[in-house]
Amino acid sequence: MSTTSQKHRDFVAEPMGDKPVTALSGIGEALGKKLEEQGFDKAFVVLGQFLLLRKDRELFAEWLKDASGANARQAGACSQCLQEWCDAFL
Amino acid sequence: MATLSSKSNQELSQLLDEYGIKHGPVVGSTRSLYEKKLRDAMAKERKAKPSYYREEEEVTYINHRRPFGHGSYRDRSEYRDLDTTDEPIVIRTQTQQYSSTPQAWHAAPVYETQRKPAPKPTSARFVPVWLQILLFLIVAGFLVFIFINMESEDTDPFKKLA
Repeated sequence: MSTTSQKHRDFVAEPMGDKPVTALSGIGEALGKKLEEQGFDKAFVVLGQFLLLRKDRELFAEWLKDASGANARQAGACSQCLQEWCDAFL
Repeated sequence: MATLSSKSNQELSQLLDEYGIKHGPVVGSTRSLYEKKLRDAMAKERKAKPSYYREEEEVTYINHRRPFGHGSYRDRSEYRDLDTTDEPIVIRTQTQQYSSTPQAWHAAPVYETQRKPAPKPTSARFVPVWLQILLFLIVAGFLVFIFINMESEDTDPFKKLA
């Protein structure tokens, strides 16, 4: 995806610190709530899951769809967001 | 096949490797995802197997019992363990061999499957191949018979002319 949202650019621009999970690109209120219910309340926890899945975007997108009910677009955006963040800061 | 949820993390990891699924550590948060992927892979494998009459692919069929009790059946090198045991014997063979050797269709192995997603216990065709070939030979033999009789009839007009 060549076009990235402002949300994406904001997230990738700096270390995530304690940002909430809704700060991730693709994760809105509804998805954020579902993730929080499962314990993924902060962005770094979702990052942890991304890393556990060996930073595999497809695998992570599949997990995100199953865990939060995200659609393909949302899952893809989130995975891309996390990948670029990792490329910059990990 | 034991249920995936009862397997240990390590066993799941090994299964994932067997199916060639790239994966990370099998831990609490990743387990359900990997179980799902394994179930999909297993279902896909089961679906891909019952392709009986494809020329290009390998044929896998399960012989529950010796079909037609042919003695020559045992001589074939492929059917090494053809005992009348209760366990189904899965034998893989090339369909090329199946169609080229005359014994093959004579033996006509009964294609039985114990897999749930298989559509029918018999092949996908309504009439098995061996029966079709048999019918073909019967029809061909019939035509030859007619032809031969025609020939003998042909001599009559010549006689009349002479």
